[in-house]
Amino acid sequence: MSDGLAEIWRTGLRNRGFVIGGIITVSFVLLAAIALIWTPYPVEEIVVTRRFQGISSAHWLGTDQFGRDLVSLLMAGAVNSVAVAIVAVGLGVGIGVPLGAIAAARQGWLDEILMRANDFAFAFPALLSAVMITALAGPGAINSIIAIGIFNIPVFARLTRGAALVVWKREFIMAARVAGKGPLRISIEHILPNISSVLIVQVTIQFALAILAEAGLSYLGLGTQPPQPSWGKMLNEAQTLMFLAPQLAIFPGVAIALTVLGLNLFGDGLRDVLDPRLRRER
Amino acid sequence: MNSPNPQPLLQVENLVREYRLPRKSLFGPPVSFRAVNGVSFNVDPGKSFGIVGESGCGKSTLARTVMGLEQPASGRVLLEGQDVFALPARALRSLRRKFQMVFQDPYGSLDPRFKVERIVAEPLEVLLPDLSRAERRERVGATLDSVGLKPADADRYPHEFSGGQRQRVAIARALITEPSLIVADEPVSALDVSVQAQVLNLIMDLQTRQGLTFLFISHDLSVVRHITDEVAVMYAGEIVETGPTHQVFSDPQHSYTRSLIGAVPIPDPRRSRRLKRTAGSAGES
Amino acid sequence: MTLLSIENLCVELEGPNGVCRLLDQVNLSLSKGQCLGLVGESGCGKSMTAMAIIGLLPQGMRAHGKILLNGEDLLKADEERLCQLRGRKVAMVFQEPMTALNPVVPIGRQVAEGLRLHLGLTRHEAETRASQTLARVGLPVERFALSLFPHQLSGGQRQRVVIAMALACGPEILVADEPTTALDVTVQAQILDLLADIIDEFGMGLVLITHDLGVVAETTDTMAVMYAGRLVEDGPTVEVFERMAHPYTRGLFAAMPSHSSEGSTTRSPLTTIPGRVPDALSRPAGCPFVTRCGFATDLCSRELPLMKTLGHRHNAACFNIAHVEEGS
Repeated sequence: MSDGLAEIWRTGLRNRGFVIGGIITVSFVLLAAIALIWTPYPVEEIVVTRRFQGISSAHWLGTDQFGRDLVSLLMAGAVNSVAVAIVAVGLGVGIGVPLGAIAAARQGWLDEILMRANDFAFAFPALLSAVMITALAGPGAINSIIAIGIFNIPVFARLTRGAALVVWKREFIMAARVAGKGPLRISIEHILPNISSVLIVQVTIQFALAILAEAGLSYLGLGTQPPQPSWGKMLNEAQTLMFLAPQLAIFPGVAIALTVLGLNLFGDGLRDVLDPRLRRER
Repeated sequence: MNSPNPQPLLQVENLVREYRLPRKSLFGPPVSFRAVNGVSFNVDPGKSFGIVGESGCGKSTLARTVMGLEQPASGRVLLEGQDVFALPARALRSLRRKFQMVFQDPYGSLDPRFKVERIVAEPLEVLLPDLSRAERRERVGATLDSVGLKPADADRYPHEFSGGQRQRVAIARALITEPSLIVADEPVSALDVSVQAQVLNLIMDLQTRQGLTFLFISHDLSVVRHITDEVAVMYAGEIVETGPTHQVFSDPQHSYTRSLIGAVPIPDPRRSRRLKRTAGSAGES
Repeated sequence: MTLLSIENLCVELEGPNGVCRLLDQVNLSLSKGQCLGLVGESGCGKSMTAMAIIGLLPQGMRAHGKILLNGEDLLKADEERLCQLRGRKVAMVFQEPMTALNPVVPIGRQVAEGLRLHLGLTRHEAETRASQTLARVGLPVERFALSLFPHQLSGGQRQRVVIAMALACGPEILVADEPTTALDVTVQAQILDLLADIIDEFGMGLVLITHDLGVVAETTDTMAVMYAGRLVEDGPTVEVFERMAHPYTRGLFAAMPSHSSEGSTTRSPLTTIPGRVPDALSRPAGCPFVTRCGFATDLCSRELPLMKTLGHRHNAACFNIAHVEEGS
């Protein structure tokens, strides 16, 4: 397998989207990781005397209306975004993929029920249902994670089922059945490895969407609660100060846009890199 | 013709396999289609039994049903006297050792993410889960050797092999449990002529060397004619003619068999349709 | 009268590891009302030759040599001219009728499309011509309405539609790439009969690409055997089958199971050609067949054998023809 990975890596380096998107994504995650142990200034430190400062060597991106360092806030906000996205996408993969795999393996009525339930979940606009859930269950980081996670489940269930059905028709699955393997074992040993590249690509795309959704919810005041920093909340707070200190809205906005762009580029690049048809032709 | 044999290795009795089609209207009665319609035949140990027919005649469905991969609507499949569909799941799993299958598409029948060792050893995973790595490797090596591959090929991936070699890998996978019956569904139709001959020779060689029994399914009459002892001709889910291969081919009784044999192109330009036609038009003018 | 003449056709692909020659010095010719068979195993260059004739080589491939259609060099023609010729003068029948037809367009319109494009017929005229052509290939409009969709037809009927599409504008050359490989034997016989009738009736030339020597023997007037991008033997079909001067031609023939219709050959081992077709990057230095040939000598691995004339238009590229013929 290491040969395969090395080859994927070599192909990846030739793909512009993969490289640029990868760099953006990695630096974003790295920034969040650093923020866990160190930020230039303490995030919760309110120093009224140094509020609304412009760009300077002490505060690279200036300070906000409470005198907090914007770089530190953005770094801490990245932690929040990454955490929410990881858990929410994890929830979607953890529940959606098994559901899709079971539906594909079993067919029949179970498949019908699972997929109709999926359609039902799909029918609601994702962000709207997240708003509804957080509105019902009360605002907060945990609830917003769950809300975002729930709308990830049908995405992964449907994708898994579709991709798995294609693999189920291949003859090597028939060979595995002749070998006496049951549907569960075939799903784990044959189906999932063969659809993993499709799933990985979808994970990067859902990751971007989750970050966007979290920012949206926090912007509406339904997500992360103060004093925890979040990009969406920063945008919300900057809104009223738009003419006073536009940089307070611009920098979180750029952070969100850049991250989503980076993840999408990375995902698109990854799709091309992992596609064996493109890889083999070289 | 049939020598009195104590027991055929494979008995298929009145096998019927139906598929449910979509209803014509929302409340109409369910429609079903009989892909295999009351098929019966016996295969004696050590013999090679061919099933020929054109696409859609039900021969592949028959193969999968014989393998217990599809449930028949009625009828029985007996392997060494044991009814495949009456057995409990566990017993069926251990009976699988006795009958294995080789598929048509050498590109689709091997999992691209597995190394050859794991592909060939797959039937053992269920049968002998306690087999040690070393023993497993040894058995895979020996089996690869018996199909004309090198034991070292076990460490390679399917995409490193040509079509003919892949089909050898697939045959090795079927052989590793030391089965008595191999069901081969169009095993050479995806291969080029020269490679096809290599694989057919391997199959014939295995049969004489290991006393294997083959159920050989093909649309290619010359292949079936060459390698089988007995043959059944299928049309629209039913067997229309059966008998010793040379007899069926030299003296076909059923009109369908006759038209099938008559349609096979013969590599002899003196019988060409061009010459026939030129001669015909010359005669007219 | 020579309709199509291919002279020294080479097709090259520039890859990361240098130029790779997919077709090498292919010479073929085809007369009106004749059928030329191209035989060989997969990867030998048959389909590549067909694509070169119809001017549809994949991106990045360069062809040189000459492909003369009525004296006009197709390799020198620009894309606009090729578009005029494709379908109008040179038409193609593909292996897989289901993928060659557009599944969401009725068959009548698919046949009429070329007529409107190339001959500028009105919708009504084109439909009339289309129904005539479909009737000619055995799909009379009384039983097969123009409004039928491809999925409502059987495999053989679909291939008839594909042939009708190719035939509609009255092309001079029909290139058929494995037209019956996806079909059953009984249907194959009908389609081959149809093709043979058509070329006589319309005085077309047919290039029939197949791996099946039986099909070649029954359908073609002249044949060419290809191996690893080169011609190894060509000539009138009857003479090639009688002599089989090249070891590869012999090998192909011998590898076919029970080709004699008389007597029981059951279960005797088949003659095989050891090894496999070398891919374009790893072809041996001398004769491309040297690694698989039972007659190979030192000379074969050093030098490339050229086509030698053996009789009336019958040629083979082998140094050891005398030995091969003795050995039989």
